Amino acid sequence: MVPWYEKLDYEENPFTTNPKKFTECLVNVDAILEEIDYRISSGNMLVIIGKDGFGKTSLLMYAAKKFGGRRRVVHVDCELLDKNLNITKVLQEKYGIIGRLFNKKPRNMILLLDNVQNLSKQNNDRIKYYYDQGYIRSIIFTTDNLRNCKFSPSLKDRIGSRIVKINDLDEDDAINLIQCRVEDEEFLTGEQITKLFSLSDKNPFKLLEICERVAEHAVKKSRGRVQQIDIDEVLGEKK
Amino acid sequence: MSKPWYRKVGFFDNPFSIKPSEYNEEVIAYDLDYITRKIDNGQMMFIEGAYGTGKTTILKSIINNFRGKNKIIYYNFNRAHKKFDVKKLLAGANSFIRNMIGMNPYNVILLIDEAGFMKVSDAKSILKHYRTGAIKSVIFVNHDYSAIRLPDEIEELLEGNVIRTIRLSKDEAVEFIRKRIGDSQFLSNMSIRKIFELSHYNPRKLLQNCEDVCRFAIEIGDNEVSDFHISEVLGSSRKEKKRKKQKVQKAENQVEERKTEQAKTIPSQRRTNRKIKEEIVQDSTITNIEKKAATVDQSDNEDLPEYNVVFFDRD
Repeated sequence: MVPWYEKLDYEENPFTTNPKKFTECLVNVDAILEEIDYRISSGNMLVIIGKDGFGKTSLLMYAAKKFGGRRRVVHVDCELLDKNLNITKVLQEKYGIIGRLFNKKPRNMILLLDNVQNLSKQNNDRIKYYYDQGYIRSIIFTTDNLRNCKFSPSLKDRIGSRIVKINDLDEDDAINLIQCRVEDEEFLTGEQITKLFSLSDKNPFKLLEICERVAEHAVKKSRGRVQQIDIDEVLGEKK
Repeated sequence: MSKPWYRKVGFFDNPFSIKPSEYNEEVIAYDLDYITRKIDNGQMMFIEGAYGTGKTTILKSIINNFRGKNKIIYYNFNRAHKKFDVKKLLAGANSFIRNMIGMNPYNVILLIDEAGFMKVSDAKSILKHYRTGAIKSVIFVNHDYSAIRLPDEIEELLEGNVIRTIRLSKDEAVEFIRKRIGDSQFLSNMSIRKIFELSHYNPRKLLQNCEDVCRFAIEIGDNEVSDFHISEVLGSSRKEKKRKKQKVQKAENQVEERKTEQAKTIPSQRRTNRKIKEEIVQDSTITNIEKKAATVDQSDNEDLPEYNVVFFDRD
């Protein structure tokens, strides 16, 4: 069965929510991207606060892509970690055999800690220690809520004011986001995107999802453009 | 992305890094010689210092100093719900052979970081092994001495051995920064003094603020930091930076939290800045030993102190 997007000559799903894809289409985060670039290069820590679905992991994937070659980047989704797991082991595994990391050089690991509010205090403390000792070069934390993070006072002190927040998107941002991925501006118009945007709580993740369902619907009906009826019917299905 | 600002002024890496390991000749607020002598004499010590004044740096220096001579255990108490077991820690520090033939560890140097989380029973346990000679010297580190509950015997041993942060003078702050950037012209001594004040005289804050101010100045194309840059970056924390790009919104202001945590500094004994020669130790034998440490670490026993970093050298 042919995926719907292939019928429009797309090789991959333009509305994918896979954070590794379309990192060049992140909108409204230019300043954050710069901050990421700088803080990683300069061996600093950075905390990125953002609501779910607003692209925290995508930002980390951008960093992974950018710095993955020269330096070793390790991404850890703390949500998936067993609370009792010693993060040292995770880092050793991910860093690979060449790094018997904590005993040999190189010591250039860039650590991307996703959803760090799930990371235990012990593990936070280990991270701090490894950073102090130079085993980790720089750390980017993401979280949806800073207060839920179990940072010790000394870790917070090291972070300082290096904290940034992902802003809400406005309508133009939403349109740019979609049209960056979908080259054909006739397929899904700005007006339609705006409509769908408001119907997705202005959440980029939800916007992508609903755009995909609407697009899929249109393609099923062999349409080369999304029409109002596609939107109506997809929304109708929701109820 | 264009080059980071420090590359534009001739540094290949961030000169204001806050990592203690990068510049460990640089123990600014403590007398390393004095501390080394105390360790050699097998004494116990307490190092008190606010966050960002160099406690971890000095621990790193101690480790570097003693690495060739003693086993060193670094243990951080900032953990919840785990039992502290000195015996197991020491067993981890003991060489494989010594453990095999039943000989106890000896002359171990114990570094206790974030001792504020230590329990009295833990302290007593340390004391016991100190008295047997297994532990040669203990250095407790915390940002606040009064926050720790210690048994009387330890308090007695610590008398005269509580070392407090000394607040840097403005000149010393300048010296501190100059050690990092030499006589580079992009940051004047006057600016360093100003930033130091705005950093509440805290060394780490000073470093971070120098970095942010210099970055701002260089990135907007100026050659030297001026009052304008300082006030833009540090003057009011909510102020928008002068950028053409989109605004980045900074989250919670943690300043209040930090303010309450900074120790009141007591200008007491004189200390000297000494350059500590960094000895590069070839850890060729470390593979065998870390295997042992790893075994200790990976045990399923809930009571094991699973975070201990054990340093060894040629045995």
